[in-house]
Amino acid sequence: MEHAGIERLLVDRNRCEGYGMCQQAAPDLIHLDDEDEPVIDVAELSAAHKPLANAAVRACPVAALTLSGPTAH
Amino acid sequence: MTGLERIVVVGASQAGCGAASALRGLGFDGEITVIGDEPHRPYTRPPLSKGVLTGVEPEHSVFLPAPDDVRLRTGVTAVGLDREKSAVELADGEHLPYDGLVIATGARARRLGTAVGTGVGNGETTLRGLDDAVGLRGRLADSRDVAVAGAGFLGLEIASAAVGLGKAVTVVDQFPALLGRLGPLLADLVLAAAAEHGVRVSVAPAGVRIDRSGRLLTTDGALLAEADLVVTAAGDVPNTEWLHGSGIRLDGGVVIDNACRVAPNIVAAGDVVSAPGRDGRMTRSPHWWSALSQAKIAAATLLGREPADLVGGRPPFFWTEMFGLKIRMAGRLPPVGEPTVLDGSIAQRRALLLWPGAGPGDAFGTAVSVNLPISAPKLTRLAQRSPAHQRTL
Repeated sequence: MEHAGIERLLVDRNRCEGYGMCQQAAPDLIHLDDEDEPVIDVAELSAAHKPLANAAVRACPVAALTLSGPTAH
Repeated sequence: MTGLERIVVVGASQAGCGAASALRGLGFDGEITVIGDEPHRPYTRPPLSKGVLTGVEPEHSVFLPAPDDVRLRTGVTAVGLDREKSAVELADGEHLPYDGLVIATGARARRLGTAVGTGVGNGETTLRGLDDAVGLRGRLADSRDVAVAGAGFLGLEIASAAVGLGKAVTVVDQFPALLGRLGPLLADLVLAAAAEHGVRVSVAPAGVRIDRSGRLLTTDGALLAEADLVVTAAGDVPNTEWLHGSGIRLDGGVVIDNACRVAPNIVAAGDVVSAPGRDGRMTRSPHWWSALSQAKIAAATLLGREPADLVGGRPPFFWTEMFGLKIRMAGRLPPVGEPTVLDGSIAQRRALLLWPGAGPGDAFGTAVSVNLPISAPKLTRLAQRSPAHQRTL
C-alpha cells in the first residue's frame, strides 16, 4: 500500500498495553487519554517529525506502534 | 553549533539508534554513521524473551525503523579506538574518523562454561540477540526437560515461556530468585506463581557450573537437574574490550558522569556504561529504560546542550511478564519495607503498590503494578510522590 511520501503512526490496539512510552518519546505527536490509550495527534508526518516518530516506535515495549508508508520495513 | 560534522555511533541497538534519533531531533545536520556488529538491521530486544520465544510474535515484528539520514552499517565490528587520530578501528582494518563519538556497544551474555578458550563456553545456550532467540525457540521445540541457570528476570521469563510450551522446567540460581531485585513480597508472589505452573526453582548457594557435556552442576559436582536443554541466564558482560588501550576509563563498564560524558567529544549510553550510584560506587543498570533515557542524555551532551534529565534523576521503569503475572515497576529496586496498597489486592495478584523511598535522601520511592494496566508515566509519577502525599491519589 503506497501513499506517495505520506507516513503515519499506527497503533495496533490489540497489542497496545498502555505503557505510554510513546508519549514520553514523542509528546508532540502522541498523548495518552484518561484511559492510558494513545492518541495520535499528528496525522501526517513531515520530515521534521521523523526522528521523534522513530523514537516513539522504538520506545514501545510491545511493538504496538509502527510507521506506515514508503519507508516502513 | 559545536563544530561537529561527523558523529560515529558504535552500536546499533536501542541506545545507539536512540542516540542517532535524538541527535537529529536536536537539529544536528551533519553526518551520522551507526555501526553494528550483528548482520541484522536494528531491532528491539524485550520481546525476545517473551512473545518471540513462545512463538506468539513472529521474529520480524522486532525490527525497528531505520533512523533517517543516518548511514547504517551492519555486520561491522569495532576493534579499537584511536583517540589521537579520532578514529574508530574496524575489524577489516578501516579507520572511521569522527568528530563526536557515541559508545553504545552494549553487553553480551555471561557464560558459566568453565573451560575458557576451549570453545565449550561458546556452546552454551544463552539468550541475548535475535539469533539466540530464534535458536532457543527451535531447541525448546526439540526438548522435554529444560534447566535454566539464573533466576533473574531473564531466566524466569525463559522458564515461563518454556513451561507454557509444555516443558518440564527447573530454575537454579546461587541466590534466592529475584529477591535482590524485587524484595521479598514480590519475589514470593512470582515464586508462588511459578510453583503453580509446575516450575521448580531452587537455590545452590555454592554456585552452579556447566560441564563439558552441557550438564548443570553445583560447583562441587552434584548434578542439579536432568535436562536435555540447559539455558544460561546469568547476567551480562559489557562489550568494552575494543576500548582497551584507548585511555577510556573502564570500571565495570565505560564510566560516564551523570550527563553520559566519557571524555571530550565522547559520550556513552546503554548496557555498556557504568555510572556512579548513590553510594558513589560504579554501578551498571543494563536495562531497556536506561538505554532509552541515556541515549537522549548522551545526544544532548555531545552537542553541548544541557540534557533535559540527568542519569539517575528520574525513576527508572521496568516490566516483566512471567507465569501469568504482568509486573510494571517504577523507581528504586528492590523496594524496601511494606507497601501501601493503592488499588486491588496482593492476594488476588491484581494490585497497585507504593513503597516510600528507603532513605531520607531518596527523591523517589517504588511504584509497582501487578496485572493492573497502568502507563509508565502514571507509575513514574506515583514513584515520585512523597509518601506523605499518597492519600491524595
